[in-house]
Amino acid sequence: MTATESTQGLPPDALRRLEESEDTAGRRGLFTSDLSVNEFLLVKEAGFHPRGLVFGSSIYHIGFQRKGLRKNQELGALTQAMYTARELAMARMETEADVLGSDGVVGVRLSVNFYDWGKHSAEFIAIGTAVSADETDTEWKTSAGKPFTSDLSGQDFWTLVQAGYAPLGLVMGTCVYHVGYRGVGAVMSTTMRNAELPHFTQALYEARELAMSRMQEEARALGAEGIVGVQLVEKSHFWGSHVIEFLAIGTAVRPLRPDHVIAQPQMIVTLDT
Amino acid sequence: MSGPSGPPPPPPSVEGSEGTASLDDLPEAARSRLTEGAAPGGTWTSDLSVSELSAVERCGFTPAGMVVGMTVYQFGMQGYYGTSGGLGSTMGGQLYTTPGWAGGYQQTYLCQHATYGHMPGYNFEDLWYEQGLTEAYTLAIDRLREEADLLGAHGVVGVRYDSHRVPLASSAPVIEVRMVGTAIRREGSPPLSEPFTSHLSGQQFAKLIDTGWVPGALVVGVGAIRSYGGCVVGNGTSSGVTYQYASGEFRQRSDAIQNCRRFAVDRLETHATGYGERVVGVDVAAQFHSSMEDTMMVENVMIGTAVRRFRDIKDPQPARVVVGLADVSR
Amino acid sequence: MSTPPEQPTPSEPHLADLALDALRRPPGQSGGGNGMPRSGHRRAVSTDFSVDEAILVEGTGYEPLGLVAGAAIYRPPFWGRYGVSMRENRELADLSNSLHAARTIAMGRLRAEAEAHHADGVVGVRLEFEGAEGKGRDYRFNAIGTAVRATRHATVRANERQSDGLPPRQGEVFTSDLSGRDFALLARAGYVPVGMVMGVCVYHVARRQFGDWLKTQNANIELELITTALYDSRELAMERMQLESHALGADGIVGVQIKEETHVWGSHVIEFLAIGTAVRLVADEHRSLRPEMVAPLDDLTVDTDPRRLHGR
Repeated sequence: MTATESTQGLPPDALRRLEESEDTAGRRGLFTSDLSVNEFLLVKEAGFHPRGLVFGSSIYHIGFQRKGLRKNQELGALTQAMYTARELAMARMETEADVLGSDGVVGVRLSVNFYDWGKHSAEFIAIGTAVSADETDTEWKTSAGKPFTSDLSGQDFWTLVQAGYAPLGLVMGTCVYHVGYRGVGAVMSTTMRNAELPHFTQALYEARELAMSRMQEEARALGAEGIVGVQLVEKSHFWGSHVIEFLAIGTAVRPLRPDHVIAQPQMIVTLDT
Repeated sequence: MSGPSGPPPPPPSVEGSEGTASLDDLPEAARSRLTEGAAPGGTWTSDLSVSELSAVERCGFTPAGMVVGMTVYQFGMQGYYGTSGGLGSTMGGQLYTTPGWAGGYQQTYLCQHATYGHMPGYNFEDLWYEQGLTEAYTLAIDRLREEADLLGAHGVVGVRYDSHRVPLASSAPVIEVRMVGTAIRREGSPPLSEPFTSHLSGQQFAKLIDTGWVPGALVVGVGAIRSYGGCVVGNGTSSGVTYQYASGEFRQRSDAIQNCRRFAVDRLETHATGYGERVVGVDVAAQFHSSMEDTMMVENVMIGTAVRRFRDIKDPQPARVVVGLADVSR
Repeated sequence: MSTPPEQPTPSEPHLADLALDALRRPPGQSGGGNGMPRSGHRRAVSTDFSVDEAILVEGTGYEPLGLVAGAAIYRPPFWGRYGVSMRENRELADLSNSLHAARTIAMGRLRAEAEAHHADGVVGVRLEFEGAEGKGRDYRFNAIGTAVRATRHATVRANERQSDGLPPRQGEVFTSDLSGRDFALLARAGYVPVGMVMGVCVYHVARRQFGDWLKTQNANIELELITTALYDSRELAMERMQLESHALGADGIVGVQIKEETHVWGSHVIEFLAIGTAVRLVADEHRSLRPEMVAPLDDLTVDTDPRRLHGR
């Protein structure tokens, strides 16, 4: 595979590495995977074989946005930055998976690293294992022809497929929100009292809802039936206590068959713990 | 093979520990507590979890009580404790004459300088110290066993152990070794001459019995090596180049660490041979490593449970592969 | 999960009594039936397997031979950290090579000890960086694991492949950082480990120039140069790991870990280490394990860990 427009943003070493693990005539290419042995075997059981560890990175400088001290408001520029940086990392990972000709990526982990040397800049990393289906009669890619992505573990992936669902894509929504300081009057009126703080409640509530609705919007655009394993993460990163990023992230799924019946699980009690 | 050419030396003798660890050796409080527990209608204590308890009961044993084994142990002076570090430059010819060192592993690393008057580096095994460490751990295990015997138990499971240096006013190092476990007994079975000891949990014990193995004893292996660098400490890499700028493997120290581990494993296996065919769950119970500019001291204490096969289970069923529908965290 | 015991029939003595009877016999005569190894004639064999691992590994027809270890103390090149401009993004090849060499020596010693036991391989290897010390900042690496050998009951063998015409690997002792449990599971699916593989890349990340910083200090933008630098160094580490596994004739690498450490060089010099176990399919095809679903009745409470609401 040569560097084309579709592989922009990947360093040349990445293309070379991926090329080395591609299939050659008569022999399957080498796969690499950060799946544990349990996960690897369950992915095989689900009818897939791992193709390679795929990975995307973006180092992003996150600037400053002016905000009113008292005002509850979303910081749109920061939201945009946090979202774009993750999207870049994800897109590069997907491109790597595409280069390998795989059907999807399982076990995706998104992380943000801050290094000592980069003030206000962070590295956004997406890493996962690209997989291909053994049988070609089911279309696993998304409707856009892209590999599916999912942050489900190998165990969850197997169980999901058993239950007649397929992962579509890792969907996320984010919202960086400035929680305004309360005025003196508001502080005074609640001193020594048990009282809800509507100003703060409303701020946090709204920010979470915004992040979740953006995530749902992404899932709807993919044509998903639902989202599983949603995680709500809140972090202030380096912004101090009144600016918080709310991140909602989960795997959008679609049905593979009309019924979702699984084999009756056996009840067990382990004596192990 | 990277090791020295000769076979590893015999393990340090632990003869001294038999005899001293007699029954009278246990404190009065221990004896009265245990006698009370062993009396008919006595209450047993145990630090087994509920799961462990049910696993142990399932294979036909009942708890007899908690047992303790411990010792506070001083390492005698051999004329060089407290002086380590300064020794590298003064020992020279005395190396082979000091009694504590005689007979153990030793290896000389010749100086690679082409000129004269330089000092070689030495690795040698500290037999005296090894013997002390071995005795300390053996004493603790013996006492654990004696307490179990007083309770009329057949063995001890789930032994937990630790050791630490006691800051006592003594010029020689003093360590405390502690062990705690739960003694178990099989109703109606005559006592064993020596109750077994094991650091395996109740569940692991049950699985062992199910598959035809029985624990024999806790076994210990110790290794301690001192390494004194010669005048060119970066020995074996680049002759004539001074230490600081040399690059590459520091063979003398690699050998010290390598051999220390090997001796510990070797002693452990020798110790275990009287108790069973296998040792499971070997754990590095204590590991000490200190180095200064030109001297290094390494020690390793390994503990495991020797197990003995009592029954051939023909064609055991392979374990089933299951996927739990509970949360699996990545 | 252990094998269910052969429940003794009422006429047969209880397993617990059999076990205690064995302890009453002097060592060397513990065995009852035929074909059992007699202790006393053979030295005891040490393993760091848990009971579960020991049962599972023996279930696949491999017998443990003893704990083996490998150590290496290595002095990095003195100039390795230097000779790079503050503004340069590049690999410090001398440091990469020295870290790779140190690990390779430790693993080589471990394999040599295993060879002395006539082992087929070493499972459960823990390869640890135990710190840098001394004036020369020597690295200390320690590897430890349990040597194993296939018995005649082995379900899969390390050195043979039935289907394709690849030559069998001769005499090489495999290493694997997989647990005994993982080893047994892989063996049941028809795979054997062929070796631990790794790739190292030590990279110097440039300090940004003041002018650059000034231009971007308020902007939300991707820092392309640094992105490429870090991206590249990870890819290099992974590529080197893959090349090692090619040389072993592996089909794949499982359990890859990508580690980042700055060791002793300050925050601008980062080691990227990719490490995993290369595996090879030796059965004719992947064997299904036919997993069953179970619903553990252990604590299935909904996780309301309050920390999760605040992020990490």
